[in-house]
Amino acid sequence: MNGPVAAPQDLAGVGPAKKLLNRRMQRLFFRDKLTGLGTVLVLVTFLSAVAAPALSPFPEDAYENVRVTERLQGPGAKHWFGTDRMGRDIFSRILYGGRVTLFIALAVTLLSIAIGVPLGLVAGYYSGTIREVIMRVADIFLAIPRIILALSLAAALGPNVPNVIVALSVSFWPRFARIVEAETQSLRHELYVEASESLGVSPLSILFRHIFVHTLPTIIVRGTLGIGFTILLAATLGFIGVGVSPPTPEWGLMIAESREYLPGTWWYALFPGLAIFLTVMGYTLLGDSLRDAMDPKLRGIEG
Amino acid sequence: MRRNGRGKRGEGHVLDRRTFLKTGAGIVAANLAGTLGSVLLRRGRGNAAEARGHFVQAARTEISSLDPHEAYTIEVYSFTLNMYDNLMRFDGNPPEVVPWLAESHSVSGDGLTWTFRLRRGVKFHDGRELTAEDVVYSVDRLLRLGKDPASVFKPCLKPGASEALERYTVRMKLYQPFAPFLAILPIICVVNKDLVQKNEKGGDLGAPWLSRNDAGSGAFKLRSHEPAKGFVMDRFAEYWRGWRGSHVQSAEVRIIREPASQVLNLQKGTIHMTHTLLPPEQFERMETMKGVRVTKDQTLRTFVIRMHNQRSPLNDVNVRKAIAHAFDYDGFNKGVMKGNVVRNPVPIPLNMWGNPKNPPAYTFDLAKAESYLAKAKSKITRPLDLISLAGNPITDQAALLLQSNLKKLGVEVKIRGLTFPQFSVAGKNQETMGDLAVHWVSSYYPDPDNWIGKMYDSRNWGAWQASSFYKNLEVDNLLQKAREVVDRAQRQKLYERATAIVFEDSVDVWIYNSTSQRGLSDRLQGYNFSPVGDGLDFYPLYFTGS
Repeated sequence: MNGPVAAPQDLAGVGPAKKLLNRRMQRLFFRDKLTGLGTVLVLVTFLSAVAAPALSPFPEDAYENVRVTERLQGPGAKHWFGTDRMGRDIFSRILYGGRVTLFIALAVTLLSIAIGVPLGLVAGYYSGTIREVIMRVADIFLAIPRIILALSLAAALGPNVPNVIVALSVSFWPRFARIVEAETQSLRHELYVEASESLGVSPLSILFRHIFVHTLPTIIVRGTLGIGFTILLAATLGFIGVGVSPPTPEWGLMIAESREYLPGTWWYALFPGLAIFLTVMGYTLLGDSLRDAMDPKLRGIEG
Repeated sequence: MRRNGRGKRGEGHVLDRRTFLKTGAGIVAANLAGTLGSVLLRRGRGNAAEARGHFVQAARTEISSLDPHEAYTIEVYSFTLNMYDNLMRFDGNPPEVVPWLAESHSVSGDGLTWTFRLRRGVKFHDGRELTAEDVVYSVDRLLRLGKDPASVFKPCLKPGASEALERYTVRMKLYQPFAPFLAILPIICVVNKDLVQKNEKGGDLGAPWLSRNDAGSGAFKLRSHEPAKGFVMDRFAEYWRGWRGSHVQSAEVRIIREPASQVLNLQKGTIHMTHTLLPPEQFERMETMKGVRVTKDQTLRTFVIRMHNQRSPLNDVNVRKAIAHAFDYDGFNKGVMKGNVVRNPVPIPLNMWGNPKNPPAYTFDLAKAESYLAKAKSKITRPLDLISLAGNPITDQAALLLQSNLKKLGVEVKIRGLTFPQFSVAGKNQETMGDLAVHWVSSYYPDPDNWIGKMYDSRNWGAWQASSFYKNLEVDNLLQKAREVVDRAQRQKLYERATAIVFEDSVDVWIYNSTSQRGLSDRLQGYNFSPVGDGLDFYPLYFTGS
């Protein structure tokens, strides 16, 4: 029995798959200009958010500072992106806004993965009551449009960052549960899974080592795309006024504030809008390309 | 099998991205075309509407009820002044009480019994004549409903204290003298008794019905009403003031939330009057536009930051003084409001009587603020909860300015946005009121009692105007006495004394008194501003050169 114990590794084909993935990813990343653009956008937005304190010309403007004598000035040498209604530097606020936005988006995505993936694995592996309960609960959440669910939750909980994260995660986890459940269902009847079962490997080990590993590409693709959509949703909540509360530098909130002064102060709406646009596009392009590169079902159609 | 599946997925995916880009471009193009189209079309429609004499005023917030005895905000004047009539009304600036439905009145020596002689031949919109019975019913209905307008009458009048002596004579008996009684009379709108009673259900006083319908005798009668869109009124042919001379044919109050959209619509000619609470920057823009003019009138609308005088740490006078010294009055009035407002350092507007000759003022002085904080017995250990009117740029900016300066003193402020209706509920209760709240106090009746009396008499707790929950027996007595004495000079002294105490107690942060600005179409004439009702009487309006 010694030989076959090590076999599932090979049966699962993890080794060759990894190599293939790496090769394919390299080719795709360099071949596809849009992938390059997506990667650059994601890196730029991420790094500028991380380095916001160093890059901002006026880091104090991100929160409580005000300058009543410099209100609503157009872009210029001192304020590259102009100033807002309280005379704060919009460039600095966009950089700091990136921190808020990306923090929300990453937290929501990770939290949704942390809730949705284990539930999806369990539901897909065990049929019967457990699966029914988990998936029907997920269905209830899926039945309500994500924006409506997030909106009502955020409005009920009150405007601050943790509540936005909760509201968006509650509406996002079922999507991971759904995908992972479907993948698990098809994987659990693969030969190597059944072989491991017959050898008495514990379900936990099978779920993690053989099934979860195979759902990873899907999760990463879905997660990357999800970051983009979550940024958009978080900005929507901020715009409507149920997201974060002032003076938090949040992009959607900045656009909402600018409406009072439009169209005279075009910079007030344009730059936060561009920030949302470029970040969401970055994650969407990257997610698309990752799907090309990682989806095992796409393997073999190259050339 | 699998291979085929993969191939399809690949194709589908490529298509996805292309469709995405195409759809995106399509949506942008469609939007542009739509906007252009509507600009071109509406220009034509706007002029056609004007030719028909259809006047449109823009509002920013939903008008959920048309019941004149229910709501009590500046917005309601757009229908109370036009669909209804009152015994007396205000006219001019400064406002004077003028006879209206009551041609004359007399009052007994003790100031308690008031007798009104009604104008004859005034018709309701259903053609029935307005009589003393309708006036008595209206007064009692307003008091029995017990909504915000009723609170104004609380100190003097009870339901059942009015009676119709004859067809055209009404008598009201106050239970205690109330000096500003004539000034509060214009709040009572006379409704058609028979019509409202016909629509009463189970003692609801016809409230649900009247909130969507019209039972008035005013210049205009209701054509349609949709809370989220606004309402439209037509000329009432048999209106008692008559239609000689130039007047608009019909009037509409249209809800347009975005200031930029209001300005654009005014420029295009689809509306003829903007709302008054727009950011100063929008009025500056309108001043440079062709075919548009901006009116500026000194009004009676103070801007204040309320402080919760009963809750720690703001129950400590030194903390309140620190906050009063931490607000940048000049920065706000000149920087944010662009000098379109007047500093008003005390509760009563400076263009009203009742203030001391040289009113005292708290100045922006962080050093002083710091020393008051040091003196304070209660230390501020938690973030202060500040209510701003949700999405209102003016209250938001005042909130952010105070937050910024308090932060320098180590005091955290959390800003919470509530709509005005939400605030007017939250402000009624000590538990739900914030530590601080920013709002305006408009004139519902131009008398010092409207400000200092409503705001700082502890008997008025439970009305949003009293949301500071200030309690001082001496002030209570002074304010009550000022209501009972009819002599203006004596009342002046009482209000001066009360103002001095309230100022020394630093009850609230008193910031400015407003200038009422409005964008008007150049073709619109007859705009008649009154600080009470804010120029929303549409009867004198007419168009020229169309």
